Amino acid sequence: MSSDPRFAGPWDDRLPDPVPVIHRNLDVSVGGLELTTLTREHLEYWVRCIELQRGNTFMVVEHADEPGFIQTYRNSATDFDLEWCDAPPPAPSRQAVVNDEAQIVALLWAWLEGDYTELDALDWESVDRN
Amino acid sequence: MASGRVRSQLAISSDIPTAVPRISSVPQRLAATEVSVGADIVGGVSVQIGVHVEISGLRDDREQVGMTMLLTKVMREHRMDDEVFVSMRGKGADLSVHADSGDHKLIFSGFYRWAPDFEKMLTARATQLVSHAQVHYGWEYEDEF
Repeated sequence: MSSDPRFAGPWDDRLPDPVPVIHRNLDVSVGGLELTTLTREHLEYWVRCIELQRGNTFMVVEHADEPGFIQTYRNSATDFDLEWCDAPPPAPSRQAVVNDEAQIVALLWAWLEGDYTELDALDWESVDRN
Repeated sequence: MASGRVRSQLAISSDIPTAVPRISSVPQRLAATEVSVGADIVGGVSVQIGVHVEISGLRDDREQVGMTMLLTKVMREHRMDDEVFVSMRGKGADLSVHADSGDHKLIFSGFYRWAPDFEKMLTARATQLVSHAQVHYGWEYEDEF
């Protein structure tokens, strides 16, 4: 057994306690990458990764077995377009602008949790996609 | 040379680099025109390589979340976090965590010295956290396309 600390540690990695909430069976795309599973911390990680997706700075979040979606387009670090729809296109949707990455994380997580309080409080503009 | 992903074997080097040798990363379109690559290039010459790591055999949410935190941290420590992305996959008691550069290739210098040590470190670190975890490495070489 190697005693080299780079190979034998010790490392401070720990299993989480308590275990955070996990959402599975998702259809999430970030750039061209597909995800099925998110915790809140992992969602925050992926929102930070949106800007790294080489010209495809969308994040789309759906439940695989439910209609509707929420998606965001990152224009800059302080400028996100947010779109929320209760049904697939061509159903109408609503759009808002969010100026804070942490708020985008909070809103996407709230949508996954089914808590629409903060979402409903945004200044939405209706979009007819017909 | 056959195309496809190369599954590398864990190897122990007696000549261990003291620092991560990866020196740079550029968008693939630029890299493809500026960097020479080949399977037999060693030392300080740069190569373009796709990175794919899978840690499987995870049995519950706690193990998967903990391993996700570990792999995210390792990618950051090795300065791959802008190009290699960590995801959680699976359901039930068949869970895994992946780190993947997708179609993008990273540029490494000294890769053939660094990779065995990286594999050894990550495998040891992952199995310290979850003893039954299985770690697989896929290094996708540019000249295999």
